[in-house]
Amino acid sequence: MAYFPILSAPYCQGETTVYNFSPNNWEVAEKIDQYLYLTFAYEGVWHNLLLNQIGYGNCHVLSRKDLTSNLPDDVTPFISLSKSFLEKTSKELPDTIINKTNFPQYRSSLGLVSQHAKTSYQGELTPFSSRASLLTFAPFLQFGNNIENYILIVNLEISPKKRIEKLEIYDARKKKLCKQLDIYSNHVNIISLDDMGFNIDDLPVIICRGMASVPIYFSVLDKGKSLSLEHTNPPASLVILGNRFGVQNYLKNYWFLQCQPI
Amino acid sequence: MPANMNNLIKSLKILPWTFRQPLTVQPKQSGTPISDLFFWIRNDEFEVFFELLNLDYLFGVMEKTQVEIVFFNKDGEVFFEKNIELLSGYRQRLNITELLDHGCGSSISGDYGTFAIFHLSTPQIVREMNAFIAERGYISYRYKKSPITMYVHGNYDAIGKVESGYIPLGGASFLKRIYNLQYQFSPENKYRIVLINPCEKVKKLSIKTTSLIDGRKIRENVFKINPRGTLYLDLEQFSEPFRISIEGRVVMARPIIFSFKEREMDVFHG
Repeated sequence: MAYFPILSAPYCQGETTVYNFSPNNWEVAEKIDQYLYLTFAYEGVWHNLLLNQIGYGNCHVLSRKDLTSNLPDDVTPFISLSKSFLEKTSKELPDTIINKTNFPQYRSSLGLVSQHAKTSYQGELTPFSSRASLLTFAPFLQFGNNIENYILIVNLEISPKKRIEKLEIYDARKKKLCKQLDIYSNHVNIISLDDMGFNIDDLPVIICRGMASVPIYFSVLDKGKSLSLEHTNPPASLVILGNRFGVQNYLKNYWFLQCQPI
Repeated sequence: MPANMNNLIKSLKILPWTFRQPLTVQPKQSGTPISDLFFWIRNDEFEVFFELLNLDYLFGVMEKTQVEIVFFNKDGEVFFEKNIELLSGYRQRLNITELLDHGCGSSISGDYGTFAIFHLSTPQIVREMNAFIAERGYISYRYKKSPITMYVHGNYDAIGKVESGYIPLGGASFLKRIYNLQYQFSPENKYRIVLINPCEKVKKLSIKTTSLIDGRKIRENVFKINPRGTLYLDLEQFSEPFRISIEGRVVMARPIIFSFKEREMDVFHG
């Protein structure tokens, strides 16, 4: 099941473009219209609102501001395509019946738009296990007058219940805890990276022992004059072939032991 | 029809596309370092950086270690190689533009091409897991002296370093594959596309433009790219939103897109 979040970030509106055509010609995909759904977690259930129907070969742009009448405050909207109708509410995230490809997977443009600029990356989100964890290294901090740096921690799980876990930020060399704060499931959590005294030679390490997510790094100049956005891959991407997830487990165990919140 | 029969039929249908056609060819030798082919450009508009990470340090190995950076011109020919010592636990940002301007000397070849970063040691745990250390990290571009740079991560496991040189590892396809970028190109922006050939042989790739208004084909152009070579060109502007497809005998021909609007630039993998 593929979901596409509408991101949030300071000085920006999130904008997500969803595409109803296959990214390749060789993995089986039905050329049919699909339903466009808005899904969000609220009061312990998933709410699935039918927005539109997209013809095959077409796309649809959705902005957070287009959806404010449908959304309670402070929820993260997730967009999806489905070949069939979904229940209006559900106790689990709907397993949408969709065209599925692997090389690559169906992606959307996940963007942020300010008054002056726009940035995006191609991405998708499949729900994480509630027992998974996060380890990411962050060589993205940018320095200069009026430059701000954030990490957007994006989580999606099957259960709509709000979970709270601790996010920990360390210096990779000193292994010293710089910041610890709560993050929430099924949400885009926005965290500043500028209030820990990092300088250009420092490498932040970001850990969450109880929740996995997609970490997206966001830098902004002059409150939106210029924007920079990129996500990191999981630690398994430091290697290819072989037992990549065994390598990932090793890295997580190593760093979770090395970095301890005292 | 039983689910098993359905799955069998599906598997048989895609067999011509999957049999002996991996996304990345596995190197023969354990411990072969692998890298993406990252795009460099040298002109008045861009400054290019790369974030070096000491992967040994991330695996808990404290011994000194180095990477080798290798530059290829747009035809895929090597013109510069250099070893760089990695710092442990620090962020290490390499200024690619300075390296090309001052480090290459007269050996610099052309205005654009690719480079690869090979980690010269492989942590024991990686070998034990029968995996290969891979550099797919983060390149960034500063456009027109902007105070901030734009990042894009590596996408292909494109090339390996062996004793005899550098071997392309990109998977070739028996049949023509179409890669449809799931991206809406806007008439308000200008775009440039980068395509890299990670395969062993010359590849012919066509770029097809399709209207997102009525689905008609607007344009098609065909290009040949040498192994390890680079195609970098302006996309034609149109008065309507459009999408592009890339067709060729490559398992996945995923491009890099630069998007420009006035003084702003964005870069991403299509």
